[in-house]
Amino acid sequence: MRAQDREALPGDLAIWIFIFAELLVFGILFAVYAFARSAHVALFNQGQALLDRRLGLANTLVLITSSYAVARATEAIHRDRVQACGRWLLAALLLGSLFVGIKCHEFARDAQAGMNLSHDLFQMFYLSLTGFHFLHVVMGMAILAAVAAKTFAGGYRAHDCTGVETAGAWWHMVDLVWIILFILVYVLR
Amino acid sequence: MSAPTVATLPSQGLSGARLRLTLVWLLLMLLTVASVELGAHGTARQTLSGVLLLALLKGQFLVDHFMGLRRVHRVWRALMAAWLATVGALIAIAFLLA
Repeated sequence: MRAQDREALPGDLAIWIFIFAELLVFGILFAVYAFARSAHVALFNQGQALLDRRLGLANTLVLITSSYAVARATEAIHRDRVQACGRWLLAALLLGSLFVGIKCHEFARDAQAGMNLSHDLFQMFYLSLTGFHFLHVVMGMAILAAVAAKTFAGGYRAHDCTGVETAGAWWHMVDLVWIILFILVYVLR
Repeated sequence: MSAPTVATLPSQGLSGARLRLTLVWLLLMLLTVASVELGAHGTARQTLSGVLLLALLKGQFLVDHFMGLRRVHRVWRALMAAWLATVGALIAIAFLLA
């Protein structure tokens, strides 16, 4: 593809600056987790064994599907299919709610097992990383809800859909971060 | 008024986009399950290299197709690829040092 044929960055440029700032923070946190683990392998492996990998897997599949729904919403608005865009955004929002539900169930399960931020290094990292990501999911859902409402009100068209693209970019970033977080905390040993 | 040509129909070419997004979604789901299976049954080294590579691959697929950076200026896609590669390398080094 020639340089002049390439499309503009989807969404608002400001969200991309924000996205890269968030990725930088998560990247540093992931590296700090990994190097802290290298000095406390047994502790981290014991801590990881307390986690229910099936819940982490379920949430990964839910978030990927939600990201797919947002990609379909963006594709729909590019074709001026306003209602289809709104429905895909609602689907993404419902899947986001499912992620939140599963994660809350997991946090409750962790609390019952006696996990807390000050118990040990693994639990501090696990709860902080997943909690920090959780807040990004909640913020993403608020953005998706606002954009879905504006979509159903006819606020976006194919030639004016920066809001949908901007919300989508944020939501995909939340998914991208979880893909790495999931394998780092739940799978790698 | 002349009938719209195939090239001017709004849905033309985009059914391909929908199919592409759906295939990428299915691939991401499949790779996720595969990486968990590998993590559960592989040796520590297999788990590290296999699971990490699958995750980086998934990340790049997401960046290219869901985020749509495949068709924008190369620098944006390169920035994302650099983030994935750096995070992957740091995790690999830390796990190998352990």
